[in-house]
Amino acid sequence: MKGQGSQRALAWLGGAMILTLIAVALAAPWLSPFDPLRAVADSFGDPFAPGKPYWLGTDELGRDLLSRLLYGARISLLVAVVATSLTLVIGVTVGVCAGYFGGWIDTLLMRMTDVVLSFPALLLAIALAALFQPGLTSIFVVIAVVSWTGVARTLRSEVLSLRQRDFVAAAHALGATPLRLIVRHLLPNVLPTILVMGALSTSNTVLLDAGLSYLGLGVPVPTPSWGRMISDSQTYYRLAPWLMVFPGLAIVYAVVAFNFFGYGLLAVLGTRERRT
Amino acid sequence: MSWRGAALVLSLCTGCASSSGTGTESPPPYLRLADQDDVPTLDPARGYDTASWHFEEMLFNTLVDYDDDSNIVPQLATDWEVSPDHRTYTFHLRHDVQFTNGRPLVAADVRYGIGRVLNPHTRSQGAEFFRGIIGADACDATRCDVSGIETPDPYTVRFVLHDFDPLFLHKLTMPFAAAVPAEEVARWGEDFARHPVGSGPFMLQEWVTGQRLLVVRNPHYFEPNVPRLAGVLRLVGVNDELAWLKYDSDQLDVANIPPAEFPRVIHEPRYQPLLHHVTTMRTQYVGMNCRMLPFTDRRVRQGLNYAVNKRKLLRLVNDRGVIAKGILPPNMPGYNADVPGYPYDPTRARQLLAQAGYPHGFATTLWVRADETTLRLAESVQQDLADVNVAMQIKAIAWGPFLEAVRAPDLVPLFLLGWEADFPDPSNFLEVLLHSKNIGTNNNANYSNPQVDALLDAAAYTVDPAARIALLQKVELLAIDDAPWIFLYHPATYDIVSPRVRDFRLHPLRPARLTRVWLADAPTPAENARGEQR
Repeated sequence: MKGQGSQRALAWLGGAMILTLIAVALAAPWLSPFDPLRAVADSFGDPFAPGKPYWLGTDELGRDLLSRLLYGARISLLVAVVATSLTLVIGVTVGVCAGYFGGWIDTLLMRMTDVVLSFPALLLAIALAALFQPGLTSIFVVIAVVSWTGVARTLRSEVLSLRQRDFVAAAHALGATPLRLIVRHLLPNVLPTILVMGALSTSNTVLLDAGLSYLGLGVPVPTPSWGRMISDSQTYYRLAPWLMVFPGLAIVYAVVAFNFFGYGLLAVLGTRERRT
Repeated sequence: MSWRGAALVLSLCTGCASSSGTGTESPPPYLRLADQDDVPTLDPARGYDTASWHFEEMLFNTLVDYDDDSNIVPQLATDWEVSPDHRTYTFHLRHDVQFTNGRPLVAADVRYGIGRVLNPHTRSQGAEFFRGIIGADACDATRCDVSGIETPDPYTVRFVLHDFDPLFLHKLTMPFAAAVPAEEVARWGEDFARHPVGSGPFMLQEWVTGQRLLVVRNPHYFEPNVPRLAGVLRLVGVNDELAWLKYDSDQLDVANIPPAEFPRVIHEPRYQPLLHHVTTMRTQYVGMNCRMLPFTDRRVRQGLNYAVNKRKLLRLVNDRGVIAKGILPPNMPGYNADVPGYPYDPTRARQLLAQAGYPHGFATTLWVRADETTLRLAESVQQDLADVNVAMQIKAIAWGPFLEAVRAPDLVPLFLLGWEADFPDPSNFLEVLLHSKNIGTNNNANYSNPQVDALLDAAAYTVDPAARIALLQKVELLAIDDAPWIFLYHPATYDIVSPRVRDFRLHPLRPARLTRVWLADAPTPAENARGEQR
């Protein structure tokens, strides 16, 4: 019971962290002390250290780091939400179809999954990102294309076991079409799994987005993104380490938040399921 | 000479690392350099960029050369005579020069080298410099017998020109005029660039594309005890930031100083004796394609000049240079300090854009070389243009593809580039970069003004130096008013060497000369010779 309580607390903590992040991202225009895209300080080539009125310092182009971080949260969250949703749509569709229909459809879909899985995710993402014009849309697609496999595999095994259950056989006997059966009977039963997978893969998405942005494959300059801010500041790491440290901390915060939430959710939902 | 990567302040392209890599071994006896990109070519007829020239000058010789103070001095020639009408130049060659394949160098090799540049089949960018020689235009793709280059005996070369050319000796210092052995070109064909054979102080030992280039001492070089280095090793794929780290951990002998490190380096006492600095004749600019909308309108081009804060750009490179008001760099003959230029004035910029029909701005793309400093400069320009409602995207690509792209007629609207003088004469900027006959080669802004062309043509044959400079100054004023470029700044060159490097000097007109450089922990040829005597 004690373990369960701490897991529940973890879920709450993660949830609260995520809500804070969302609030910050939404309120960025009001919270940011300066315009994130314009030079506001006379610090060209020689970044200002954190202090008043630039609380986290400025970069070598005279921009306020705090403002850029706050606006960067919008990009990171947007990518997290949209790319994860796309990931789930692809993963759930593939997983449920493979599990429900079985036979050659299952074989085909699962071999396809194996093929995608056999590539290192980041390498595949870099290759794909190089094919598209840099931009938000390509980031969404690239992340979804390399991340859906885990979801598909998990969902397939869940559906495989559910398919043997009596309520599925009953619905089938009553003449339910496959579509109706999947949507009305199977999906509600795998929803907890989807939620947990969603929360956990969001933290991966944040990392992948940061990685791609770091490699210059994310949103084009001057839109602030955390990964890009780190790569831009690496040449200045000796002169202005804060330029690298703060975006790094922001990424850590987002990843930890979604991980807490995901693992907490897993524990809570898993327990509830055992209880029923 | 040439194309310079936008911003950077490198004259010696950067370095290279010891291939062994482990810190415990003693460093190799080679001078170690590094650079992000490979040397484009080692064929003296082909190379027209700093990196190629740096190594071509080590492998080949020309009749005359610049000394450290940019005076013209003999190299292959012992002396020369100029006819009273300044149309005939007679050079007497040294008798003790041989190519690294063992064959003695004779007058015919000088003749062959320049003839090869003039041959349209070679597609050399250097051909334009030697068009004044009689018979230069008689070259066709199969043979090139320039009647105006005579070789009365094996050690005499005579050039006969159509007209007086005040720059002829300067042109003969360029690697385009190098003596080249015909038999080696016949043997290798197109591959001569990868198997260059010359008479220079060094010879090619190894060139692994994309990895490293190693030249070693030519033991039969005609000057005694030169070069003093056993070799020069240039590692590829090392950007300025990485090169700096390698330099700082004793894996490189010469490096640029990245802008992020410069404020620290310039104030730290231990680096002071290792710093080298020279004022070169260079201009950094953003070229605007005068054939592409909306840059066909002069008001747009002027507006963008007012919109860019050049002071800020200079700060980004640690004030290593001076703001450009026009085209010609200071210390270039004919430099005009009184040109009005385009001070930073966003209001004026908005007015001009509105007059041109763009009150709400427009969208465009700036092409740049993908290196950290250039990207920083590009972002600064992007900020400034956003203030006048011009939405500018940045497209960063590698150096080679970038140069090809800017030469394509209607592909690149804006590009960030630099130019460094080949010789101290304004025509080397104004004619090479802005004459309409050079569209497709070096006039990448596709700028064309008949009045400018006519003045440049008149200047080319004007004997009186003062009158000539006056004509060229007129050209500059016209071109500044037409504003085919956003004039940015004239960079200064800084390099830093490792403590074991001796007698290193930067050159105001050429990549650093390495023949007299030596390493404190490696034997020079003179020391070797003494050792053998003992």
